[in-house]
Amino acid sequence: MSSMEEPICLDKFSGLNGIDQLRSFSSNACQPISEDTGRWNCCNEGRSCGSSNSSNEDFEEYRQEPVVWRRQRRSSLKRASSLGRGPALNSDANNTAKDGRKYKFFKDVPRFVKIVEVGPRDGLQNEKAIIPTAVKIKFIRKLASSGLSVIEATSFVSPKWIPQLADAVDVMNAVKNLTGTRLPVLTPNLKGFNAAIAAGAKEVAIFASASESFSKSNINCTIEESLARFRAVTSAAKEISVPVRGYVSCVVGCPVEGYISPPKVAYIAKELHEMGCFEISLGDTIGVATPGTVLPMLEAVMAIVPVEKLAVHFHDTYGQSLSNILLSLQMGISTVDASVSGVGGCPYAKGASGNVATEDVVFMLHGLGLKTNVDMAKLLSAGEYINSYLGRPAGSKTAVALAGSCYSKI
Amino acid sequence: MLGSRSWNKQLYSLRSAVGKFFFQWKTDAQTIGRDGEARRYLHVVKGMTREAPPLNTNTRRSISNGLSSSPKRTADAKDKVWDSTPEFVKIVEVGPRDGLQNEKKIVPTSVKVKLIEMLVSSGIPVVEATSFVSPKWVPQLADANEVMLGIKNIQNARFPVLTPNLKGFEAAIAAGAKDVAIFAAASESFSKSNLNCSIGDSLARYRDVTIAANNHSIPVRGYVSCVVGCPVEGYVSPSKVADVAGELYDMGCAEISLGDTIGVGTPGEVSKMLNAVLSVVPIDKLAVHFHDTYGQALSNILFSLQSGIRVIDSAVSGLGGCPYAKGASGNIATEDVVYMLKGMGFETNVDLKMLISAGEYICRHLGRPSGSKTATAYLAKDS
Repeated sequence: MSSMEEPICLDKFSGLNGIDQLRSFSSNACQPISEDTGRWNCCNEGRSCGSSNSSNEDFEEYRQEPVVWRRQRRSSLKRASSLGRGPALNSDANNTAKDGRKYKFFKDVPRFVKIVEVGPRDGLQNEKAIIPTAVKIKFIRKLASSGLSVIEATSFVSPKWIPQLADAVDVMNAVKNLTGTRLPVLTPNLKGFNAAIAAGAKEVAIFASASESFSKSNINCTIEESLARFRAVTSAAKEISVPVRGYVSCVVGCPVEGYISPPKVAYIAKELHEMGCFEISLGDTIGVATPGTVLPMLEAVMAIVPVEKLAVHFHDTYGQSLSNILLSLQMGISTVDASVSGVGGCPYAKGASGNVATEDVVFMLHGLGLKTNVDMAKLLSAGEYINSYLGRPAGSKTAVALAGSCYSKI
Repeated sequence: MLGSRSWNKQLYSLRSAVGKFFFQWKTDAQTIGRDGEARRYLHVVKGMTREAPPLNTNTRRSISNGLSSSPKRTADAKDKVWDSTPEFVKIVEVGPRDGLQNEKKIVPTSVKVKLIEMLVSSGIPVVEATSFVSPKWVPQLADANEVMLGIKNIQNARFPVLTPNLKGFEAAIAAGAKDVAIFAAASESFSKSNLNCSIGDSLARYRDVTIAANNHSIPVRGYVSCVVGCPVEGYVSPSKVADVAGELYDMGCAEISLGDTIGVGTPGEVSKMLNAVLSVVPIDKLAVHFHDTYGQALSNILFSLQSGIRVIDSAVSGLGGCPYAKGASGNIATEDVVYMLKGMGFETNVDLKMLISAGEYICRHLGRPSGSKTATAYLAKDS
């Protein structure tokens, strides 16, 4: 693939450059948080962290109007004398009114963020060495026990293409009765769908691309052909009341075509929505997105699909995913895909990372006072388990930091 | 002054005059076809498909409408009070000092000098060159004088050096330093364990430094460490950070860099901390120095940018691990920051490819892989 050493610049987009889009975020909603968040206490105990339940009140503070952000006008700034403090920095409240800002920093951030854990499918499918079914099952069980409400269990794509997941039926049989968590499975067509249902799946996922070239190289057909196949799946799913999740890949960049424009993404999202998907996950497959490209992409899609039906699936190939996730949350997205320990490298850039690590996402969400129902300690344990099997270090900075921490208080 | 505004202004107004033409050409690219599919934009990313755009002065509006955005969006665009000139974000590169000082094996002076040369060639405007802390504490930087000698002819960048006290300041000046930096903590426990004195005592020492610096017309950069959390005390209250930042500002620091030393901050805590500091220090004097120990740095940086911060500290290749969490990362990688800034349309003056080369150089010497995901992804294409 052509690596994107120069990131896609925002100036390609409609009318506003990156700074303008950035400024569409109001400075008016900077929220104080209480000094004692549950997270600090839990970090004291190292890994015995609970979920972010204590943060209810904290988050409420975010949503209220705060102390107005105080800015000093640069032109009128006078240097403080060395004897005293500087001049009082008064707010220039009028600035915010003129800015045409739409998004408050935290106002639209949802209180509860659903994590869709894709490690067992999206993560493991890239592994060369076949992982035993028993390991996959234990991995899924450990993830389920951490409180994750959605775990993508496996895929009913032909074993010819994804030999790693050839044991889909056995995995489903073993985990289908797990309670407290939903277990969607990938189904590329009606045949895969029928196999999934026969194996006990209660939720399926379909996978389209916003890039024609990627569609051809990844699933061997054009976008329209893939959508036709998926319509067959969604019709069949509707008949037996099985929810269908739709994925859109290459929502910002494609390893073949390069930049993908937002209207293309919006078109695919619209088609998936209209054919009956209850949720559409927007995937930055090669990890090239930055907040500059995420904002117009999400705006284009949100103009057509309600935000509560959207999820984001960022790859961390260029280290950009957490900032992209933050921006998405600020725009009202409430579902984030992630993979424990960042399992699943990038197949388009050897040695580069792929999925964003669930632990890092949960760390940020809990730090923001948002609820996830995820127990960080148990999540870390699931990550450790799969890494020790795969014989590799954690792909999550949070996991590494917590493991090596010698803080007395953190 | 550190990264003086008039210097920056001249540089980027020139670039933006050129850039404006270029951006205009690039932006007027998209039209919405009949089938609802947009044609591809022209852009300069290597290897990407190119299509010549039709130049159409009405395209901006048609793009806004064509994207099925509400009419309000076009109105927002019209309500802009600024033009489309890209804003400048200053990168303060701390790799040669903050990054290397944690390395056990002594890096030769020539390697340090070459690294600094490569960083400046890539366009980084400020590189923290070395430290005049006693070699007893930081043996890695015992060659501070030699490094200063090695870089004295490098143009187009500023090279602040750390000076813990008046003695260090005098040594720095003697070695040719034109900018210095001082380093206080927002946590009493960290100040005692890291600087061997209380916050109050450290500030007293620094007043001597700033007075002397003022006499020599040398700009001083102030660092505040532990602005969110402390490895000993835990959570650090924003008011404490504001107190220390305010003191540094009052004593004459040209810029105050707020450091999340153990990388535990997330945007909510950063918000509260920034809010407190902004009551005593103007925003254009502030920089942010996030550590990526928990992978949170870029989201904290994004938030800071949204808040109006325009100076970011980082270290090429993420040099410098976290001394408080074994094996954990420390500084955020400059390449990853620049990648994000460029993607958002900020002007940084930095050539990403050349920056990646500088990172490659030092990583090769240290015998370890890059700590930058951007660099790793870029270099992976050649493998």
